[in-house]
Amino acid sequence: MAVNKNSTSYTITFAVILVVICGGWLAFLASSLKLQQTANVKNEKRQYILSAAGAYEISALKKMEQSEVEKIFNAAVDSRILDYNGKILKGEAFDIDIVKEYKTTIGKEKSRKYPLFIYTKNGQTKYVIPMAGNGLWGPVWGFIAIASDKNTIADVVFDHKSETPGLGAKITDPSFTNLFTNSPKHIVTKDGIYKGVKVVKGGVKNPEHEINAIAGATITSKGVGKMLEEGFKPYALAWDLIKK
Amino acid sequence: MSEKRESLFSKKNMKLIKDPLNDSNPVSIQVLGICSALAITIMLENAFVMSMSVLFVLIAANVIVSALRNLIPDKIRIIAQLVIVATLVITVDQVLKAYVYEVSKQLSVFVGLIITNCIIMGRLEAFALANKPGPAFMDAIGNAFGYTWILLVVGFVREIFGSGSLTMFGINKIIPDAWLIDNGGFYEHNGLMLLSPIALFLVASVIWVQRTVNRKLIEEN
Repeated sequence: MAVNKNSTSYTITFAVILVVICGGWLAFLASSLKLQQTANVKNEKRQYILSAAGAYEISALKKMEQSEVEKIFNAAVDSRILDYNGKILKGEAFDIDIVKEYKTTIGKEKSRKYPLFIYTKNGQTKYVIPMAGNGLWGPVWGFIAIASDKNTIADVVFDHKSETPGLGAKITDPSFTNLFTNSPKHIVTKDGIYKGVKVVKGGVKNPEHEINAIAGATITSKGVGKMLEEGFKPYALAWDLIKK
Repeated sequence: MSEKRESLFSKKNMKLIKDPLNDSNPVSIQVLGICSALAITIMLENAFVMSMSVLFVLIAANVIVSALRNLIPDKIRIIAQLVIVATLVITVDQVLKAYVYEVSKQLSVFVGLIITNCIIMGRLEAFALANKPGPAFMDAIGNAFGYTWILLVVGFVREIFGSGSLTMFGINKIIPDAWLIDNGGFYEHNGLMLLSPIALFLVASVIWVQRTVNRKLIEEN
């Protein structure tokens, strides 16, 4: 070829063409896959809420078509948004991205929106509370189901963005989540004092409000603990559980 | 050029696949790509998915760079390669997110690591820029599998002794609960296996075994 490969103009032209092609391809790809990707995220959220509420096993939900999950969800789950003092706000709770909501309101807990999902089946009611916190590498979040007494934890589902597999990522593992259901955990004491649930190292002293941390995953455990210690308060206020 | 057309599976090209598996293994001999060998081998499944992603990216990048080798200006060849690799990695990431959401969640952190994998840049620099797409393709397969088998060995050992499971094959418990010290037994999962440094010891052990078996790898001095 007669073109001088080492000339500045050739170099710049090549760089521009390469970047335009790559950039154009990525833009096209991202926009054409966007719908599918958001559908996946929403579907997962529905699965988590339904499985926390004990409607189905998560493995069964994963096998279902997305449209089927949506149908079950819409039929059985009602939702609302609470403010810090437990008052009901307007809006669609499902559309709140809980990780984003928590992240943008750090230090401004009073202006945070607190979504609540209410699952009803055969007269049985469960309340599913989404919450978020910080892990070691990125956000952690969870859906905590409260039994119809509005005080006892019925089930929990946790997830995380990028915790270390085998260590922090164990928060999604039954070995951790079962700790919440092996013995009853309460968010408020019998006397009406708000306690939340603490994640502690080196032995549980108060089994109604504490669970054991994961060995080797101190920071992830702390993040989950902080979220569980504080996150229930608006709901406890809304349900009028706090007497002192 | 009057060079005779060479078959893709000629002896010379097959050597491109075989060499990186043993004699010039990218991880154990060239000691490249060690960072990802440390980070993602806690579980066998992660190691496998990572290896397959590297396989795809390396093949595509090697072929594309090799096809463009006469067009890429020398002055900006590294950044041009980087742009191509980054584009491929993001493509993998986006497609996984849309169609195999579960797998993409597993990989989330690791996909980005592919871009920085020295094996990929190393092969592009050392091979693709100087060879035709056919041999570049074979070279990519060889190196990707050379990387894969080391990762699988390390991941296998770490998962069994660290967590006592092999989730890739649906086995959640290899060690019976009754054996565990917590339940009055004698066994405890090795916590060190879950931390990155152990991968260095394991890779070193692989190198040791490999050199014991393959004497010609031992340098004379």
